Amino acid sequence: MKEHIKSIFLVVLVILNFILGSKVLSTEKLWSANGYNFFVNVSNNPLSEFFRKIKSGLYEVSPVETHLEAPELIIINTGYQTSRHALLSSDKEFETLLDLSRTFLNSALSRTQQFISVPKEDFYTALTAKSIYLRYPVEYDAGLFTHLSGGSRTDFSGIFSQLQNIVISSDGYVYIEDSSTGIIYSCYTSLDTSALNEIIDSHNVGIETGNPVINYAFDLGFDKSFATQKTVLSPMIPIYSEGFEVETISVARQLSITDETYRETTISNILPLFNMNPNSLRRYTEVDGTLVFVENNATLKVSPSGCLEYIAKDDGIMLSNSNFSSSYDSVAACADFVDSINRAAKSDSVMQLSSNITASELLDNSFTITLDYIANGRPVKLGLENNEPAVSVTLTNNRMTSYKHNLRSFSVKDEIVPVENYIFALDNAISQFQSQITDIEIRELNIIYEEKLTENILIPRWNVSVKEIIID
Amino acid sequence: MKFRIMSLILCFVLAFSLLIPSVCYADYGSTIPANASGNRTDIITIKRPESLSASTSDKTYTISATGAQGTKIKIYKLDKSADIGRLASSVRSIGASGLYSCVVDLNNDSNTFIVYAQNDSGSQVVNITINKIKKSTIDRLKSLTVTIKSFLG
Repeated sequence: MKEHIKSIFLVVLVILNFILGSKVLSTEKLWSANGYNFFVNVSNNPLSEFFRKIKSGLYEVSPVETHLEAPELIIINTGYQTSRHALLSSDKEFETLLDLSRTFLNSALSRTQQFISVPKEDFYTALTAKSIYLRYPVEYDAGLFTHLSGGSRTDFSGIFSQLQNIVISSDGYVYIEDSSTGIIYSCYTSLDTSALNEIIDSHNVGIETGNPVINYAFDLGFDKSFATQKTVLSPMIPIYSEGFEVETISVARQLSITDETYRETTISNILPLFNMNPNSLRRYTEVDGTLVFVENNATLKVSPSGCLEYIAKDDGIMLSNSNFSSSYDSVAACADFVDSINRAAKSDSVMQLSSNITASELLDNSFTITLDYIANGRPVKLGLENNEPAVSVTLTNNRMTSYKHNLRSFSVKDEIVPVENYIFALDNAISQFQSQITDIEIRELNIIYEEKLTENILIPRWNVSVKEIIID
Repeated sequence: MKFRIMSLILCFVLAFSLLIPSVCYADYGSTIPANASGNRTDIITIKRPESLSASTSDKTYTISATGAQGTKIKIYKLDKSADIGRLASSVRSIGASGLYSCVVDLNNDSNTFIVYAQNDSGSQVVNITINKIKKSTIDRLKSLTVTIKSFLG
């Protein structure tokens, strides 16, 4: 009996030894910072990576999407102004229509030699007939846009170089406005348009839906100055006849100092993404609570408000395993990197480009890409100094040399607030500076959410973007 | 007596002088005479329809205009049987942007709207005719335009 107890005790001890031993060995803090590391190699092997992906798919939040080439607004033109319908990325039908639009776009962009310049009236005629209007948040270099939308490399010389406004007519024509010159180019795709027409016709239900009537600024003649008219609007601005109601949203600041445990876990997930080894770096806290991680080649700071800032001291980080073949690849890799940071912080935030990417910028050795959050289909303006964007990535020689990310996630609340109609909003905006303004040209007027760092609920409001202003 | 007569005349003159602007800037309520006219032609500029007449197959039409801030605009729809215009939109003042737009319903084949604008300098009346036609007719007209353009091009 005594021998039996001894044996059982021994077996338990041996098992405990294995369990505790494996726990100790798998603790990252004990891993060597330099040279060969068996555990790092094991954790990085393709099989482990495969299981990690499965695990993240099963247990973590769904992967975030950084919308690099998604429009901020789609308007379904039914041929009747009364039943025009606007879709935001938060609308269910948005993705379906976007996929369909991409088919037409990729078909047109693959046959650039068939694009011909047409009068601007043709563009407007297409918008008053049955068509789909795609408005993108920024101006894209045409080659980059094609690359991001999955198209093959094409020669755009002699036609449009930058684009932001696209119309796909119900008869299969694609109209693209060159945003640098204003010239319209059109191409016939010869694709089957039945699916497109079906969607357009399903929205031709008239004013009974209770939606406000949507007119473009050119419809109403507000894009041309006449007599004493001092306000001119960009022709493609959609003007809603009535005000409407919009949901409020709440904000969570992932890396803010409020949840110390969560913050530590998130930071430990993020450090490897910047090629930083938690065991070899120096860590200290600044007076204001900013955590600073210093390595020989880079510094990473995490501010108490949840801002992540990386500055490389050398060539920076190569964002892809292979050498970049073009600046287009590096822009796409940037988006993947932003996604990976969001995933590490368990954020399901959606982002969109907020700065134009032109051909001249892409030719420079160093250029910066900025992204902003979109929540409930609308842009979010963060409550930061100097209108700082949510994400700012600087690429130098196709390597990331600086990165700044204000981590946030948003969720739509049940509370809805009324938003006044377009012209009232414009009146209110202009009246603040009216005594000084002689002429004003409005580029964009859209509803955004504006964050205040002291509040967790964001209220929608109109945002006026001015193209030109002449002051007395 | 002479003083009384003089006072009475003075009162009449005063009353008449006060009446003149109110007649010129007559502010109409829920109706307006079909032949109403203002004393100015430069208070507002109708931007849509550009030629003060248009055709559409839509159920509504958006009338747009520009003018000085503070100008009050009312839109009446002409009731041909009564030869009178009935208020089709609530009164709205032009704001700091100087822009104005209003959606009106099109119930008949031929719709005449009387746009009445008023500010400190006087009033302006503009008649607008919107014809409602079938979509097929508009499509035929558009294809005709395209054909002509192709022929010329």
